[in-house]
Amino acid sequence: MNTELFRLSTEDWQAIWLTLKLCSLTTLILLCIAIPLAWWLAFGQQKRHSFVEALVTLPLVLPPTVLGFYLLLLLSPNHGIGNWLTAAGLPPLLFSFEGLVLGSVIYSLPFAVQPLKQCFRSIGTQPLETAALLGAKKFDRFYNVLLPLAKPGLIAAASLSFAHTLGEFGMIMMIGGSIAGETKVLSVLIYDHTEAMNYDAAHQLSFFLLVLSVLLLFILNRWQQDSRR
Amino acid sequence: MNDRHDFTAKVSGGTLGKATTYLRQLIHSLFHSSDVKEMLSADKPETSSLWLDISLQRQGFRLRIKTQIALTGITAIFGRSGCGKTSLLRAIAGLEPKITGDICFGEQVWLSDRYKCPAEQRRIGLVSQNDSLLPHLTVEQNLLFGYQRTSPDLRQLHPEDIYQQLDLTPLLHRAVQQLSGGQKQRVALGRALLAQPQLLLLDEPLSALDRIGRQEIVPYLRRVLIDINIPVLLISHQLEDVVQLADFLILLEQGQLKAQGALAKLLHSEPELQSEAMSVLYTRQLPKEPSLPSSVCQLELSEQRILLPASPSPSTNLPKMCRLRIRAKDVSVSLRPLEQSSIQVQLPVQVTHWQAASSTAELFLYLSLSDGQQLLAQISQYSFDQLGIKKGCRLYANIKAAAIS
Repeated sequence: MNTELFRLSTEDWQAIWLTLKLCSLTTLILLCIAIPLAWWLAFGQQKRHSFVEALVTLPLVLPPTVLGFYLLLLLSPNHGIGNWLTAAGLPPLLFSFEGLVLGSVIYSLPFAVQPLKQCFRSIGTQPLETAALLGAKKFDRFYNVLLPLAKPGLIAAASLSFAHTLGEFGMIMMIGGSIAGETKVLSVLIYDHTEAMNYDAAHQLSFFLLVLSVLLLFILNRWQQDSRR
Repeated sequence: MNDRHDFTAKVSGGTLGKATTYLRQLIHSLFHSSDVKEMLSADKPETSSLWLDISLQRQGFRLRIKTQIALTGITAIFGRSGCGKTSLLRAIAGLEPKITGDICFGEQVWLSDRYKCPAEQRRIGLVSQNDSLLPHLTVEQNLLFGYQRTSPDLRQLHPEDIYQQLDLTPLLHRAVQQLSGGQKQRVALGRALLAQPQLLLLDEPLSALDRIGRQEIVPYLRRVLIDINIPVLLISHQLEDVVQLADFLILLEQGQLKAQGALAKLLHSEPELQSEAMSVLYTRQLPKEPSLPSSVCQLELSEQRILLPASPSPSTNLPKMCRLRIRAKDVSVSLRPLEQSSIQVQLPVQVTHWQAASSTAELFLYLSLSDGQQLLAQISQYSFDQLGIKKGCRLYANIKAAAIS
């Protein structure tokens, strides 16, 4: 097995690179969205908060294919957003890497928002109020108080989003297809290899994903233990 | 005031907008300044005040307070839990988003219909009952958090002095989690002071502490509050703490102002404060006399010289004055001065009125000293009848010196 790992084809490496790129970019975007969103949800108690909470949690319960199907409808050139994109002279998002990023962000949103929300709730508003009374302005409070205190939540949100995007399949099949270098990520390539009865190649990549995922979750766990100490 | 004008200028745009804003400012400042003058002349406070006219509506609770608090010494806000003490304090600090009305601190507008001064610009020090230290910072980083964020020309209290006064130097490099409750409160107090506040808010700073924890903070608290000339609002639901520290009292009941005034007066006029009846008397400390033992302290109380075994706590408000706390139970009365008695403090008094105590066999006697201060004595109905006490009759109040604190 060890020697076989080094016999990955160019297509395999391309898929690995594409997957890592997709996961990193998705995680980055997710953190930017999830921090304010989770803060808003953590302390809101009105109807609109429940509604947004339900929307955010939706990807957790819906089959990825359903999500993919609606995104397909939404992004197709003669509907909604796709329509505007063509009108604005922008390239369509369907069957492109950018489309995949958009899909992954929606797909992994709950995995970024939930841990952050819990974390913000446990921090509470007191540290920020304390900092404000000591003269810290908004950004100062965010950067020097909230972020350091929310570190465990941020680590959890980032690694869970990354790991969850890594395991994405159904949604990518619906909106990305299987274009090498553009939308053919690891999970899709493994499916292709299996379809072509190329079991060895499928096994290598599956094993690669398995090891990567275990490693990622292991590191996350260690990190959280450290920050709890 | 200036803050408000800057703010209005910033939000409006365009020449016409600017002109209108200017006009509005002019009208507002004219109107407002006359307003303030009127209020000042009405009460003629010697120092500046905190003006409050605020209301807050929450589920099943309404806070509605209109008052003026002189910015001097320690003012206690007293009331049962749930009466709105903490909400009032949070409103003053700028932490209560739903508050409406007006708050003025001296010349500064903190809250009005159109403007809300953010908490970080009010320069308020807050020590709350729960642990408010920032857990990701060390003790020293916590202490300097506010100090580093104040402009150098405002810095009057310096870290070394505060560390020394509050005995913080041995704690500086510890993690916050390693401190005891009393130590945490001391650090919180030091941190608040180092942010150079113009007003210090203490929200039940002692209530979460056990007896040992209290001992770790009370002496420091008292010393610092006397030394440092910053007005203090102290919230408490324990009369004991209030009487130990405050000179003025604001009594809250169900979100409303019940009474406000000098502690010594309210102690006798408000039934809520008589669960443990006592009096507060102000005395002038006299210079030591070589003929007396060094441990004895000489005071002048109502034109009389009295001797106490220990030095009482100085008043935080009146210079060179000391406060004596005397429980009504420790005061007895006689028709003539006692001779050959261990009682050292005997004061000529006049009976103003009396009132039944909670137990029917006893009553509270309200006595007026020759300088107008009021003393409360708790005596039995039997001795009341025996002595034939009437309104206006002259008696001697006898107090055991050891019972005075």
